[in-house]
Amino acid sequence: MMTKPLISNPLEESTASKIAEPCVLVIFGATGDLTARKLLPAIYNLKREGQLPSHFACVGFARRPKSHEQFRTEMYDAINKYSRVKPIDQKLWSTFSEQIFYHMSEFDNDAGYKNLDNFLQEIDAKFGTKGNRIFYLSTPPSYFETIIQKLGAHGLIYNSEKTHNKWSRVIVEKPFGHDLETAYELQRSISEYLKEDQIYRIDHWLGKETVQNLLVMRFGNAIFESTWNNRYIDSVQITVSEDIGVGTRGKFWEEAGMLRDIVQNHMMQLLSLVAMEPPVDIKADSIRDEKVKVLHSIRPIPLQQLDQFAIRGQYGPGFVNGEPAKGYRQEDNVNESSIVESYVALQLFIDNWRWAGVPFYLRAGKRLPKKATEIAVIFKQAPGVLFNRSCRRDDANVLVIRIQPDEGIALRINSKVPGINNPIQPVRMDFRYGSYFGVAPPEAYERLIIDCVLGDSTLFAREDEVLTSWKLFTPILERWQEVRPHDFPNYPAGTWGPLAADQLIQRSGRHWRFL
Amino acid sequence: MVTHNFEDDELQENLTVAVEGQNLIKASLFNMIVIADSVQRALHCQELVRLVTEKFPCRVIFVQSDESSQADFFHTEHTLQSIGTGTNRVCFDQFIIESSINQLHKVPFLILPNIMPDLPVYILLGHDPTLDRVILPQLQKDANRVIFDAESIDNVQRFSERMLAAIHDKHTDFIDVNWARTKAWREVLARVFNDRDKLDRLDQSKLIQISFAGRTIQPQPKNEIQAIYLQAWLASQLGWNLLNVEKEDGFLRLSYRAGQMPITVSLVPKDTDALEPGAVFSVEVMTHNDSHFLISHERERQHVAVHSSTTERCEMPYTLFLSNFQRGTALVNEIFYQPLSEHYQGMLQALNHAAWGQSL
Repeated sequence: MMTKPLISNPLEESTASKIAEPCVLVIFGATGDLTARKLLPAIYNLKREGQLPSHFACVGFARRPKSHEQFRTEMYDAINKYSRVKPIDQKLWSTFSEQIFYHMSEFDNDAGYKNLDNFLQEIDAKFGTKGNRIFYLSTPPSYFETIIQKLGAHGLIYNSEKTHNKWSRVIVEKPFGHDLETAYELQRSISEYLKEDQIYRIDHWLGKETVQNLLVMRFGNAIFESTWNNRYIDSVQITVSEDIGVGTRGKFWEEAGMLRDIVQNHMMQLLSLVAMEPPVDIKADSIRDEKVKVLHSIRPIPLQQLDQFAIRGQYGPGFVNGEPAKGYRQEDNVNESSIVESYVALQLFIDNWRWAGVPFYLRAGKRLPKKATEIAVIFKQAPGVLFNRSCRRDDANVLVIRIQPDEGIALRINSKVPGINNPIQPVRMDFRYGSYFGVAPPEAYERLIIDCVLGDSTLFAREDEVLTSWKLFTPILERWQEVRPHDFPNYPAGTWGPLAADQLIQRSGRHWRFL
Repeated sequence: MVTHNFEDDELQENLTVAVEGQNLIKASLFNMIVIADSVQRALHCQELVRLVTEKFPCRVIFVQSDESSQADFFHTEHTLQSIGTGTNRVCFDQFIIESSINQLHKVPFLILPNIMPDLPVYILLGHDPTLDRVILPQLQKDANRVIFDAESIDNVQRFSERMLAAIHDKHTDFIDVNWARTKAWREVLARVFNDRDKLDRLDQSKLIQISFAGRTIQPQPKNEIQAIYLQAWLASQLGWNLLNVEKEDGFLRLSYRAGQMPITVSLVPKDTDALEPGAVFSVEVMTHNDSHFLISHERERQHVAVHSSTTERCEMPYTLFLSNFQRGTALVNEIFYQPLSEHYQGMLQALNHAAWGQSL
């Protein structure tokens, strides 16, 4: 029996959290690492916290033969190992596991999709999931087009303009394209089957609590927004530092590199959130409109002066945390004369009214001394007429937004040291999420999966965001491919990157923050 | 724990000395003024304070009086409490004021200078806020919100009338702890009756039985308040008219009319130690067209089981998560951060009906 749609439920409070509609989540690439480490633990925790709809099922889709029971056992082990809350709740699992299934098929096999359709209809009948579908593409990007084409051809993706009593959404893992051309081609191809409001391009950084707090911090506090411009801000530094190397991901990294894997997507998301104008409201498209404007305002890097604005690096052998570390070219599945970058430093300018003249320095690297991701907003110096003997150049106020680890916000201010004389020293006012709110924030994937179930695309990248970002970086990628670096490897593992990156920032009289 | 009398001028010095040399971080996220008018309510409030401070260190100012006592007394004490362990250990101030009724007028003057400026001020009342004539009027204008525990209300109709007036006049956020505690069940009911057909069936109810944790042998006088709130909320949101309230064997039975259909709501205590006293245990709905819904708490689990059937079909039973708003972070979030709810005001309007008479 078809139930009548309910425009508004009088029992739902406007202040209450949105209520998720029944649905089935199908994970393509369900035997992969991401499913075990992130997706299933996230789904389990959503279930544990009552966020998932009561009528819900999850289907793993992959090529390896496996029974439902085998898949459940593997997922049980994965949740036990990787969930942020342990141990697993046995009673909850006993019912939840009944909602988890496995479907074996090649990604390009028509029969596999026909069977999937039948299977999902059985699940609808059994679990009341009402035909609503989420397809999570956790596969290598080369399968994205095939899977979406097959889903469309077998009627698993609904035309959202014609179908109103059920919906289908597709979550696409990064990378969305390899460069501008391939991103355009992928977009063109999937647009044949999907409207933009059905596509959820995931960037898991946007699911992090501190990243979401950026908007609140900026637009919920008059004290920051009133100084958030080129009159008061000297420069902005965004750092993504990892102490690990490429590890087992050598093959992937050889095709990607730091600019593609981290800078083009994650770091540009951070930059656009830091630099955007206030949106007219907090709806998904209003926020994304403003982010895209920032990306459009970034001054293209002149290729004839590329070294003045963009530095690439590759780690050689060194020491990290006191242990010897291999160089990039010695990692498994890496070409021994590889020119793929493991480090990028950029100087960008945003040519708009707010940011004219303020440099944005971005650096991202592997095998740096420590793991840290932060945004540092460095304010201009106070006029040095009173305390100039005590204040050095680098004692400017700094607002640090720590993304990971130890999420929080710190403000460096100058303070008089107690005593008769007037020495001044910088002190920190520190806000830490963990200690202030006393609860562990949810994993980014939890937030993003439930947002997709709720149909909220605010924390997902829109087509024009992705393409504009590729448009900025594709010329650099092409130039780096053409011009072979003569000094790779140019920084030892365990150091803060190549000398050229220091020189990039020092030319303007500034220096990288010491983390 | 370090203890001082805090009426003297050396208070600030004492507070500093208490922390010095102990490598303790002192933290206060807000001020929480707790007012209890009896020893029994004080114990109840202390438990709430514990729930709050284990997650949110704050400056606690605890005022305890005893309406039943004729003694003349006034004691103050400052203690330094701590939470966490090792390097995560933080401490916070707790001030305790014990006052006899005839000295209560002094209390606001002792509290005001000890409120930490720039931080929110929450007043937690262990009794009906509309009856507080001494302390609350002095402090209310400085408070961000008044949180109270309506277990102590004496008359539902009078309470709802005064409460609606207070919300309208005082421009203060009043947060009712028992309303917060029903949040989980309100969410569950919204999820169960989530389409037009099911809502229509709910609207055609013949009998709704709400069971709650309470003593059947020796009924506790105010244990049914959460059940009362839950049914009044349903009535207000679905536009039912209250016709009559009666007590039968000490249990409340309410008669409503929805359109031309009579609805009976029965509030039944259930002798269980699985839930906090007063917590709703199950909701059973039987309709005029023979539909049946049973939503019941699963023992030792934070879930409810949902069984539903109509004359045409019987749905597979399923479980729903029941958020724990009886205690913990969820309750704290609900009482400190959620705005005054329109549904709460609607529920008060449903309760503000002469049909209650002397039933409660």
